[in-house]
Amino acid sequence: MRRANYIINRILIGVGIALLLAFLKKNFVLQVNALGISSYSTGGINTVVSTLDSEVSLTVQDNPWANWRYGYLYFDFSFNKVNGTATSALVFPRSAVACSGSTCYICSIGSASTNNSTFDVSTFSAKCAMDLQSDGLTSVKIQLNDFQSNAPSDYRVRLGSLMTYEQIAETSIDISSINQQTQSQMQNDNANTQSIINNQDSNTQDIIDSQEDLTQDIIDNQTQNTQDMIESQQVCTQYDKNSVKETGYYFNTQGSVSTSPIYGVTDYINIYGATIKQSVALENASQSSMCFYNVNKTLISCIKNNSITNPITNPTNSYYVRFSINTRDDRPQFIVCKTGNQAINDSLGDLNNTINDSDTSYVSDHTADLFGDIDFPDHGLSTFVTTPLRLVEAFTTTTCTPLQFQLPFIHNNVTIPCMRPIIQENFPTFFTLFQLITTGLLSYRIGINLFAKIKDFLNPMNDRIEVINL
Amino acid sequence: MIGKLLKGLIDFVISLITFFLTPLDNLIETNFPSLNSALNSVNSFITYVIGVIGYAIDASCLTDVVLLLIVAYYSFTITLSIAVFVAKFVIKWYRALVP
Repeated sequence: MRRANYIINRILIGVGIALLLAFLKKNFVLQVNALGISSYSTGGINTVVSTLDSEVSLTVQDNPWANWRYGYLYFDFSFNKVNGTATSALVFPRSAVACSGSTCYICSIGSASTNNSTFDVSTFSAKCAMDLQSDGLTSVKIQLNDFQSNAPSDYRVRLGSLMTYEQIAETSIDISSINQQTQSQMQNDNANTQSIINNQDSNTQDIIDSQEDLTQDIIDNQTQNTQDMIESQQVCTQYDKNSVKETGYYFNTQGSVSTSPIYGVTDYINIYGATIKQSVALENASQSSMCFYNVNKTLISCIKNNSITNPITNPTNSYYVRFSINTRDDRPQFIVCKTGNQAINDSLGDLNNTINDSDTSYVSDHTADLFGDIDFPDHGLSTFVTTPLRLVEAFTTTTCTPLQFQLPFIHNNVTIPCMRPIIQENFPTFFTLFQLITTGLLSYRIGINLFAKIKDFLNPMNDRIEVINL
Repeated sequence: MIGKLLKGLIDFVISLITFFLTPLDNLIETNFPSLNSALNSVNSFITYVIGVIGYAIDASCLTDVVLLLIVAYYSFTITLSIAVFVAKFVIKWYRALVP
């Protein structure tokens, strides 16, 4: 009876294990790279072996160990025949490494037989016990320790659980003791791994800190180098006859301008922090080559032509300079050099001044002169047609000039002065009242007329808009 | 500012009119010298008037605001009127000359 129970139990255990292995088998994927090595010299064996170590690997597609705590791994290693003939044992797997996450287990592999073209799975295998459920297997590698030159071109590695093979099921193995040993080994490995991880974390943080310090140092050095480069750059401006602001003048020794058909003077040039050189000497030794001014454009001093020494020493508090320039000489006559940084600051300052400058006289003057400078010959018809416009324009341009005429017979000149100052001085109340009334009435009248004109212009059928009607 | 802008506008219109009428002026000057002399006499008188108009404006004691309004009003009306006149004139001559 006991013998029968024993046999029944064994059968039930075998059936259960077979079902479980069928489930596990389909959840593994075998990934072995074709090694592509057919002939190697003995001297290159080590290199090839290390390559094999990295390439012969297995990857588990998902976690088949969910319901199989403390399972076992089983490895076998084999290779095919070379050119259809049996060869001796060429590669000796020494161990297999099974990793789950950051924890790896080294599994010993038994010795291989030497004269089989395909090694027997039982003689060339590795067995590992590990906590498959909690860790989850992620990869397995076979480590090789020997190699020969006539190695086969492809290998095969298989992975399975201990229960994959029937002969194992028939072997009596004390799982509980292995589990305990495995658990103890795992705890030690976990502790070691955690220690390694902690050390790695600390080292990584140190590396990151040093990298950040190094990066900051590099940035600081780059910034300083860029600043030094800008400082070392010289920006020079040449001043020649095209730089003349007012022609027909030069600076005398007192700093005021004197007339000359040859010379001209420049505008105020910002020389703060600049170096000045004179490249062409003036013809007249007694006149001043340049005059210096402070920030308020008040004259500080002038340098006479015969006392120039290059480079010129700028007076203290000098901010602007004006040059006397020979307008008959095409060569650059003065050179003003600034450091790159100073030039940039000056440019920004000039730009800021231009943006904030509310003086629009330059624009308005040039707007008025834009077409006024066009010189058309006076002809009868065109002048006649444009007379009303010239009359209106005279309102904005003409100023009062006293009337002068000669009395007949006695030949005395009579001058009638402008009346406005006389009226304003002698009849101020009347003048103010008159201006108030005329301003109001004329403005009202002009507004009415303007409104009527706009209505006329908006009417396309209105044909009364002729110059004669005006 | 406004006065100078108006002056620029007036100069522009005068230049434009003179440009378009220059061929006619040359024709009149060449073929009708008497008419050209008469027109020039009128222009001389207008030029003289313009020369003394500054005195008249000063004596009128008008404010700058009123003067500016007058200039703006007449710039507006005269510019448009003359532009229309010149356009019609040029088109009329063009139609007469081109078969």
